[in-house]
Amino acid sequence: MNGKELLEAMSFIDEELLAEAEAPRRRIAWRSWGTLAACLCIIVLGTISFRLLSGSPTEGLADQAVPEAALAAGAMQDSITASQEHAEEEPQEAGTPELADEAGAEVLPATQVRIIEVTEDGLIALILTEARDLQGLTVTLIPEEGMDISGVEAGKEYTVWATASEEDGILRIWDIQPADQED
Amino acid sequence: MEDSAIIKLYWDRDETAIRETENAYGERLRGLSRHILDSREDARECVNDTYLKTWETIPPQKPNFFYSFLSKICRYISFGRLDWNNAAKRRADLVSLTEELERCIPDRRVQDQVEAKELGRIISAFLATLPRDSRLIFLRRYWHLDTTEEIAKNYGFSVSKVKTQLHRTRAKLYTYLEQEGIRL
Repeated sequence: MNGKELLEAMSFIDEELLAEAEAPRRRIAWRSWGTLAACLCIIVLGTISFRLLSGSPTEGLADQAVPEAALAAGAMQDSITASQEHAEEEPQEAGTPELADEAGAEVLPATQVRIIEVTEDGLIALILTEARDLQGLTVTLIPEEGMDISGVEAGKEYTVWATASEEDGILRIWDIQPADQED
Repeated sequence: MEDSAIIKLYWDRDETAIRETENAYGERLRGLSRHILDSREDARECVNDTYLKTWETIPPQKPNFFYSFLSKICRYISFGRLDWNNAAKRRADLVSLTEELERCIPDRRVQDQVEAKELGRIISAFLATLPRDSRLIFLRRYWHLDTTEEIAKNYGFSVSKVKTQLHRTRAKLYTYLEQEGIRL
């Protein structure tokens, strides 16, 4: 079998899976920091405008409104700047294997480990599989941001997918599954 | 016309089924085929062959996902028509896709005897284990042959995230095929 045959064999994938992928759609960009910041500013400015237009006593309020608007504008600018920085950081945070390889981080194949200890920062594990001369080594597994390792238990074996860190003895994991999990 | 009504036409052996299928999905199917063959004329012929095959297959089949059913046939026919020798010269994108998938094959000698349908079943089982985003990105890339930029745009991801997800899914597929190979 070669890559061409694998590509062609994908024609036999379950129709239900294909149906899910047939209508590509945009994700709702609520997670965009810039969008959230803009919404907050609209709410703040809208509140200020409402107070100004409502006819309630405005003595001193106009003076207050200007600093509030300035604060909102400043907050908006800060948020936009933050979102720009976040956007600039994101390609590096995503750590694409292509970029990671260029930076020297190595993407490892599935690796069997036994967890020795669960710490606040990650997992201490013994490498069981023969890969990249790591077998028999005790390493620290640092989970990727947002990854849930709450179910991981010391003494049990797992399969991890990881990227080698620049620091010796540390692997950055992006997935972990019990080693005895059946398909 | 609803898919169920079109399928009923096939079951009733009413030839307007073909016209209704063309009305509903002709353009999408030709787009899919063109993506593979890069030729309007060839794509048109493949889609016509798709309709013929569909007529021969329904009944007894009664697909639950009609467009998926059609597009599977169309894709299979299109790849069957593809001249890989010429594709290597003119379709760098296809060659790149095959090279990417090549890295998912753990041991060619073990996998040589796997039929395409069985391999499709194995890949389906593998895809079902993935998180939804990873599965969709993988399918858009290797089934629909979308570029990473197209996938990023359609799903609102960064190109970087798409590439990362694909790389990780290929790594998992390698492990999955390796395990399947041991059991074969």
